[in-house]
Amino acid sequence: MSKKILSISKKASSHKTLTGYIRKQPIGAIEEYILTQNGLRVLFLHRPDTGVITTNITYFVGARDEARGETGIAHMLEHMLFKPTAFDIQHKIKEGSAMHFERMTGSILNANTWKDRTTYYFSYPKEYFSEALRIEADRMKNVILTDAVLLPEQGNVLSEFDMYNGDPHFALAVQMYSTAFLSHPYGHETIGYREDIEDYTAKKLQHYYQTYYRPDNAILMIVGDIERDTALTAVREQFGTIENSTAVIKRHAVREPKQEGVRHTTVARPSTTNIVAIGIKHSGFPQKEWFNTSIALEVLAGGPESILYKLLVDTGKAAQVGVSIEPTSETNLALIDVTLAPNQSHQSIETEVLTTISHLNSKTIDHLVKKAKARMITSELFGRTESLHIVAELTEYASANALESYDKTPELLATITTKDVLQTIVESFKNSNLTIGYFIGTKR
Amino acid sequence: MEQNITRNDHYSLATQSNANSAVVLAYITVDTHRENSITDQALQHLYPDALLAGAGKFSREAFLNAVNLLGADIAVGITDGRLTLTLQATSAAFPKLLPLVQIMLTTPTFSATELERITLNVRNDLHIKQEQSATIAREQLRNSFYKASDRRYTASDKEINAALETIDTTALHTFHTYVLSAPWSCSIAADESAITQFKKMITRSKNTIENSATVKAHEQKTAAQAVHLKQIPSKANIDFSIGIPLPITIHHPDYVPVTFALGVLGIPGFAGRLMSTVRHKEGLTYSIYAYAETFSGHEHGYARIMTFFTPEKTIQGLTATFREIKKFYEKGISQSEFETFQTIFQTRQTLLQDSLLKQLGDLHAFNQNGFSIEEMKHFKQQLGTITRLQVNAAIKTYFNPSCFTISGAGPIHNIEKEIREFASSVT
Repeated sequence: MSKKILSISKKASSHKTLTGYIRKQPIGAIEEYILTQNGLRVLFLHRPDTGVITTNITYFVGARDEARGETGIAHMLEHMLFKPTAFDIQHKIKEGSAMHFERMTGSILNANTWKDRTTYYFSYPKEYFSEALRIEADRMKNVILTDAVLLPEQGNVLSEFDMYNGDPHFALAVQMYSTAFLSHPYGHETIGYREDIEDYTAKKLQHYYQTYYRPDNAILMIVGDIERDTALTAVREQFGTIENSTAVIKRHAVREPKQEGVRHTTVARPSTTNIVAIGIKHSGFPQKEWFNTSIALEVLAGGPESILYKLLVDTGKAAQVGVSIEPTSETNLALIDVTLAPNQSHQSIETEVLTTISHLNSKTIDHLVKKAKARMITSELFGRTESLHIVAELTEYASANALESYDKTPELLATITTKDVLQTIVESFKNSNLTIGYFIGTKR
Repeated sequence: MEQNITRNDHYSLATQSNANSAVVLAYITVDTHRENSITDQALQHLYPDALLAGAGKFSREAFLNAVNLLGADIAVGITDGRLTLTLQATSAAFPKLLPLVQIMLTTPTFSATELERITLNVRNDLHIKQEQSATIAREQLRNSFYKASDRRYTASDKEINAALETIDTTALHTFHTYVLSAPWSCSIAADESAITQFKKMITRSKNTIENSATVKAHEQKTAAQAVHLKQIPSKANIDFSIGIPLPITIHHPDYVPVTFALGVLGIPGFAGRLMSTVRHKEGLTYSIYAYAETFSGHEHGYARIMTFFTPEKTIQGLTATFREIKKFYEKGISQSEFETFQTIFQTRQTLLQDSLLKQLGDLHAFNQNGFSIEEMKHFKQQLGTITRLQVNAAIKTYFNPSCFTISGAGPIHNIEKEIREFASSVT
């Protein structure tokens, strides 16, 4: 399957040693290397004849590394990586090289932060490869973080927070996570709490920057129209001189206390929207159990054939049902979201949903499981037609420390049975695994 | 990878041939715009779901089951009167998907029971739309530009709810006959075998009888009130659509200079002037972009700036936005800006090569607007051959800040007076 989707460069399939690198076992058509000078991991995939290269660097730091009072700092730091470095100041590039690059070339440039990682990507015509690498290498260590530079960007992040927080679904999800997790840092949203965002200082950010932004805590991906040796030589030249901090990155293993019974939370705001959300804890990605849960959620609320769509949307009790599950490395909370139709009771909808789920059996879900698997495979194939999707997917496998599973997903899906999915549903919807939330729209 | 567009009296077919492709993506678009009556608009809400709700011997459940077992997807939607079917499947599944599509198109059931269900769903959708402030701001803006018979005009939720009552299965069948008779724009990215099969399916499904329904072209209003506001107290931000109608089609010589100019002002990303100033320098919003919308081969379009501000920052935000529009209008763009944006637009074209979805979307847009492949290439080349003088002339012709309309939706109550005063001072 991967041969049809991904281009295999004949040169790349040879085991020719490249100076300065250790070559690891390939992941399908994707080659993996480690830069010996500093431990930077590099993934390479050749996609010829597009004229385009996508470079993506992921740092293994995210919301789960944040202490109380500093929630959202990984995300704030992501914003600051677009600010000027010492090089930029010396060369009078006022807006910083990354912004300057995007503004001068029209390339795609962005970043995102999640629970386990922060990732930065460029997608551009191949002639800009050297400059893109230079910028990425430079900002790994050299962004100037001062309170003066921080202040306006803090305003932008607060604006972003307000944008999300105004959405009833987001506001309820924030409460759901903090209710589900008493101790684990997955309990706070990646953007953090507004109060914490307001309290950031450059000093706090500097600490995170120095601790986590280093070659041996990163993976660089190059996907596109460039020969392997050219790409890796350039990476060695740009990144090879960057040293790692001597500090050890502390990964706090947090064991979430056992949940005893259903947890509840409510958000009440003036609104015409009403929502019932049901949260279920699930295993980390990309374990088989994670995929079982993913398929279970599709069976329950993934489109017009799903159980809850027929139960609630087709009958007019709900305007929408939706699901979300994140590819996090540790146990997290997946959500089923029901937007109520007018004059529906939160309690009645909750009861109806849980009762229906409790009565499911293999016969009722068998055909839905088959279809969910088929759609996931098609979706995977479509994703691999674009380099930005490829790096986004690789990022999640890398941050779960499971790159070797990347090309095994279709095989894994094929092994999942209806019995597996039913078992997951039974376990997931036990009271000790449930968090229930209501968004109640009140009159102003 | 080769692109091709062929046309006859009944349909056009754009193809992008990818040998050994693992997936197939295809579009069929039909312009269903007639008079944009409230009944038409209500029908457009109902029809997409109704088309997927059973055909031939298939009940809705059986039909969806058949499609989903293939791992495929058929999406149906209507935007601005244009119906689009999107087909996605693996190359292996696509030949099995096509007969289902053909049955759906040639013998849809449109049962009364399903119509009842769909009507209830549409009512619920209209209910949750009440707080979609960005959508409401955009609709208000467009309603201020266009008369009720124009495809861009949206009737009120109350009017559409009332019209839903009047629609029966006969109306759906009549609408469907119109869909089969109107010209189709079809596009596909696949291997040659899939392309051949797709073409056969189109010729088997398409009704070759000419339709005779009245079609109303764009009908712009005379400019009137320059500010439209709607109070939505539950929102944290006020969503704005700030725009101006532009009396040109895509074939007008000013179209490319206009879209170039709008790119300089607010291209999505970080390069536009509005993002550089209103967001980055002044920290007044998270995003602010400018778009050229709804232009076609035979209809005019409009320019729209989309953004949001907190109530506390609204007047500052609007002031900054109009300051930039004014500067843009009075001084135009500099030579270095012009050269930079030529590079940016060239890059955007290059980046299409990396995405199957974007490539076919781009090809389909040209297909719908009547272009041949040569005309498409020539059109794209214009971005490299237009001059700064042409762009600045277009800015002077079309972007007078005093002619812009401000539309906002959100918690406007406490600052409505200030917004109206501000609007009076600039428009």
